[in-house]
Amino acid sequence: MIDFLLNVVLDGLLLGGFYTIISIGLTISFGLLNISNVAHPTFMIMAGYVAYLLNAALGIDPLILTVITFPLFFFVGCVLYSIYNRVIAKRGYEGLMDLVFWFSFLIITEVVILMTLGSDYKSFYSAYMASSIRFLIFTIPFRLLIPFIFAVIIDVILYNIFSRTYFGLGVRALPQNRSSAMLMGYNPNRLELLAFGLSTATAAIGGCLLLMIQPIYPFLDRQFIGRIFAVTVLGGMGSFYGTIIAALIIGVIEAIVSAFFGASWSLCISFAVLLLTLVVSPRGLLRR
Amino acid sequence: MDRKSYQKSGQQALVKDKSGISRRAYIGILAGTAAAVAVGGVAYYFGSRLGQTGPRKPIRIGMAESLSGSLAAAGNAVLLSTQIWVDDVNGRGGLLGRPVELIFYDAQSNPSLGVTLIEKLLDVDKVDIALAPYASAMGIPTIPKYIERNRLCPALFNLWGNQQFSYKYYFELMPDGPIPPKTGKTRGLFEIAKSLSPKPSKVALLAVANEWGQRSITEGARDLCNEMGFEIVYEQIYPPDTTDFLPIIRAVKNVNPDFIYAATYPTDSVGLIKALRELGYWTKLQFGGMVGLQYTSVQRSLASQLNGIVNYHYFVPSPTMNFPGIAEFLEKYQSKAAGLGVDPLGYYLPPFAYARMQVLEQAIEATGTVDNIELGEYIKKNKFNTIVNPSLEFAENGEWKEAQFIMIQFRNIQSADISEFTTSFDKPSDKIVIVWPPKFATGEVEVT
Repeated sequence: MIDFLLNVVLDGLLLGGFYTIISIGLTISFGLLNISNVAHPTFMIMAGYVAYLLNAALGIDPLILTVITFPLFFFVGCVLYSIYNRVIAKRGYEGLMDLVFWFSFLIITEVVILMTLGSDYKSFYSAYMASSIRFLIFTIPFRLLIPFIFAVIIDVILYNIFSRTYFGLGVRALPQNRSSAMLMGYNPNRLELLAFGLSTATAAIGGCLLLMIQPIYPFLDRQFIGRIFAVTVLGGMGSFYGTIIAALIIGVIEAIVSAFFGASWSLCISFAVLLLTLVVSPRGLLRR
Repeated sequence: MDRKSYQKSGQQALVKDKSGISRRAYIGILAGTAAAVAVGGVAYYFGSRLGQTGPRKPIRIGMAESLSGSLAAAGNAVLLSTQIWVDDVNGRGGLLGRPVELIFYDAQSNPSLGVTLIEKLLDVDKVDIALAPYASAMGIPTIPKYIERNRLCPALFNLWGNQQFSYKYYFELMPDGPIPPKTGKTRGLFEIAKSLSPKPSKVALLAVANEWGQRSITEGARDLCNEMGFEIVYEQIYPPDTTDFLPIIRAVKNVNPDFIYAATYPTDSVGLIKALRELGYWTKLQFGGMVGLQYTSVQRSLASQLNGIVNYHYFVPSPTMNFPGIAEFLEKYQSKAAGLGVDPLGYYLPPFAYARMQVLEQAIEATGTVDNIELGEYIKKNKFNTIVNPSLEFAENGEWKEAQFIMIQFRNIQSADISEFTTSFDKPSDKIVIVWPPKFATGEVEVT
């Protein structure tokens, strides 16, 4: 029984790793830049399709394609932020208009993917992703181990970028006092543009890994919207370590509830924990 | 001509110029026009009765299919199959000498929009026949709209959709038999398990929390377990957006059943199979009721992980299922599917979408009308020659009179290449083997 319990906890931790990798970009855009980017998982699906097409055309493994899609989606994010900045932010329309802008982008992207690439499921198969490592009493599937490793590495890198570099400190300073940050020599538009680019670039990594985990289709992004916002809010807006801790907590809760009480309750209990945490600590687990 | 008479004729000419026409000529034109209209009307009336007018009024068929949203993969395949039938029938000169026109809308996988679009097709577009949308979630909510208007409801894969309505002008192409949860695909795995020696006794039931999953368990699998003497040692109904299935499979492994029955949807089918393989766990038989394992793209995403799995299907090209016209239909479908991003092989849903139209075609030709009530009465009482069953009959509730699902077992799949999942009418496949029922079987089930 204890083996069973420990393995279920391990499953939850691995699932939390995947939740981290798909949520961490939102920690930047929503947590630090205050942009209600509901299209964050849409970038992930876009990257999944790019990885699928490149894999089909060139035979490159999606794991390697993370290196290609990362800069590509950094650029895509920068371009989109420029448009968003001109259309919404500079005119002072943030708030509800944020949602309208990104939701429109989400719908347009889904339909463009549907009309150009069809509605059929797209997938990737490789023998190594179907295998597992057996270690002591544990069975660890590669399919979830790889996203977990990516999650830890990216989380540490982003934490250091946004805590120790001139650029990162500037991004953190903007929502606190934009005018003072400008007096310190920061260019807010440039900082936000680069930070948003980083946000979409991490979504691209999530998209490549998602293709390895399950088949994708144009509307799969909607399945993740609730979870990634829950992780970001629970972790504490803008906290990278908070994001990974929140993702791991939600992953473990879902796994334990699924195994012992029934999967139907797992999402309900995860969100109940989110609400309780916010009652006790309204700014999430780790405040920025 | 003297000066006076010249002046008179000049005045008359002036009167003509002012009015533009003389009174006599005016009366003449009016009479001529009236006569022309009358003759034209009579000619049109008799002409249309005799079928001798020029362009004929088309027979209009409407559909509100999910061309976007989560059901888009199937919805687009249904549209393509229906369009192939329209092309075929128009190529043969139409129906009752009239061309067939297809009017379609995107229901966006949104049930309430589907209902609105069916109302629009019936009331605004005034189509002769409106096809119910594919899938239970979309199709069943539209049935009351057909009932309110006393219109024919041609359904496609609405799981036991007519159970709560008992509507007399409803017919369904999903070949699950008259009581789908019990006579349909849920039954297949249990029939195979019952036939094994030694007979397995303990079963785990897994299902996604939607129309298909829940009804398969609550109205099918539980009763079948009682009927055939299997003990349910584990039952789990999980939400549709479940991401990871390792904990569920670990829980199944913990109770160690003899076989697993699963009624799932495509993405969770993939998740469950991956989890099972990753944990290296295997029972005598699994899974039976997985939706998705019939789609080429899902098959390719699992490749060799499918080997050994037994699951339902409705049609696979094989010498035992070589119905008249099916090969020609698949050839047309596959030639068009590649460019449209729908299932490239089209073994699952497309033949049944085409067969739905064949039923309508034969009913219209036989009755000589598109009157929905006459068609509905005819469909209830007659047999139809379709590409999925050359002698198709419907039960009183509109379901197939006899179920015709098959159970297949995946074997020897080596890679994700599409050729691994392509089967032929000429010889039985050694990769997708039909193991039940004996009528269509191309091999025996292999258990571990």
